Amino acid sequence: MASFDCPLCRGLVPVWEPDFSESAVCPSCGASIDLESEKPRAISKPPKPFTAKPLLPIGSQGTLRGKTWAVRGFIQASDQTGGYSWEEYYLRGEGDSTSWLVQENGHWAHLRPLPRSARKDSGKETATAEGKSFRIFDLGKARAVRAAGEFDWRFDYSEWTNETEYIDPPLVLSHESDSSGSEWLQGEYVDREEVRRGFPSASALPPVMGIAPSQPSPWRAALPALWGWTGIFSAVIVAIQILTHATSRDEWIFAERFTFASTPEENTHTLGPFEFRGGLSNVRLDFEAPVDNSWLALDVSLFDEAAGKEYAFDMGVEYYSGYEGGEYWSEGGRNAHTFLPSIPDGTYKISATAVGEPGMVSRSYSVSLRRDVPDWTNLLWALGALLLGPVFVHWRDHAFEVARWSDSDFSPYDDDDEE
Amino acid sequence: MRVFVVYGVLICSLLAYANYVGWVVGQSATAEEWSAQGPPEPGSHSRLRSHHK
Repeated sequence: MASFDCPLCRGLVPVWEPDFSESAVCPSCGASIDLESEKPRAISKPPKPFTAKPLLPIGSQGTLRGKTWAVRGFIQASDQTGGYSWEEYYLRGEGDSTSWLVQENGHWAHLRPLPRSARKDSGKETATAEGKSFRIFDLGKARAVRAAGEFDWRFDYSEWTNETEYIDPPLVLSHESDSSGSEWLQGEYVDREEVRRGFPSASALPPVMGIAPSQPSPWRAALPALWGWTGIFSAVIVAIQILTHATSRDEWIFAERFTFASTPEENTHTLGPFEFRGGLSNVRLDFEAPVDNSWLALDVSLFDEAAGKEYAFDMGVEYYSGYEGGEYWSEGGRNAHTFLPSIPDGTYKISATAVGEPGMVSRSYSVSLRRDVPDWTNLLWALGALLLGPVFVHWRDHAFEVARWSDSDFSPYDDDDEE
Repeated sequence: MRVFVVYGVLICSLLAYANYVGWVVGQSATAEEWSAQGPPEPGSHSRLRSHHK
């Protein structure tokens, strides 16, 4: 480590790596100072006087993804409007490696220079680096408004940098160019907690606000495991249903045809007794009547005299059709069925009373009863209910992406926003 | 994820129970049940009647 006097304010300027650094910033007045000249010479002064307070102290060391980094420089950058600002920490690693740790709204990303150049895809809003495609998120000009530490280039406050940011969360690709040349950097989102653990000397890190361009969607991260579990549960559901069908007796109790008469007494029929054996199960009653622009209802009572139990319900069919406005129409149907669940063993009779539209005569109808009848409907409902989980997570992930891109002029969701 | 696993187990359990008792979603009658009242008179259960028109 070396030090020298600032040519502007005479304050002491420390330099951690004099052989490596080409410029340094005076901690007293903020001036950038050229270290390459014979004697230190001021390059530029900051736009406004300031006291730089980097969260990661200059000279401190930290660890990121298993590698040790020393904090050498700090830049607070701002866009042309001054509305957006962010912090960049210039890090030096083993050998001559360098990287940037960028903080904006409490979010962190770690970027390193790409050994090989990336390319902007012509005619598209994408760029490709190391075989990966990135989508443009932002572009604009930026310059430093505050700085501290030292840099391996001639740091100048007055230099505007053209920056283009591409993302493929959690990865980020950045293209920067100024009067001295251009550079591609590629990086990855870093969790705030990882920075806090890796740089124990850091002062209190700012709280996370909003969604960062390269922040991975927590919903998307959950999707592979979620679909895995959905597959497992779907297999269990199908297995349960197949087992149900394999073990159901689907036993016919009766099938009868009746004719609708004019008096209520003639329309009541009592059938049985029927022996129900084999344990708790359902019964399925099917009702069919050739109604036409009319209806027919059935009041049904299934009762076990010995046990003193009765199950009563009603059902009906109705069918209407016509020709109106040049089109034929119809609604309703001539068949209906219903299930009665949880019917215990016993000796049952069934009483069925048909009730029809006033004036209806001599209309035949059929009634049949089966016991322990399986049905696929439950399978569909179970699969539908299970899919609510992945559908919900996809919806939340979509909302996350829409929120992420709401800060970009290149949002692929602009059409969604307008809807 | 734990919540979804619990949810999935719940759905499978409900399906197994519904199939065991023979309950079918959307197709099961809401039957009224009476116990130890003696056999009904033919047509006496018309109290359930809720005819269409």
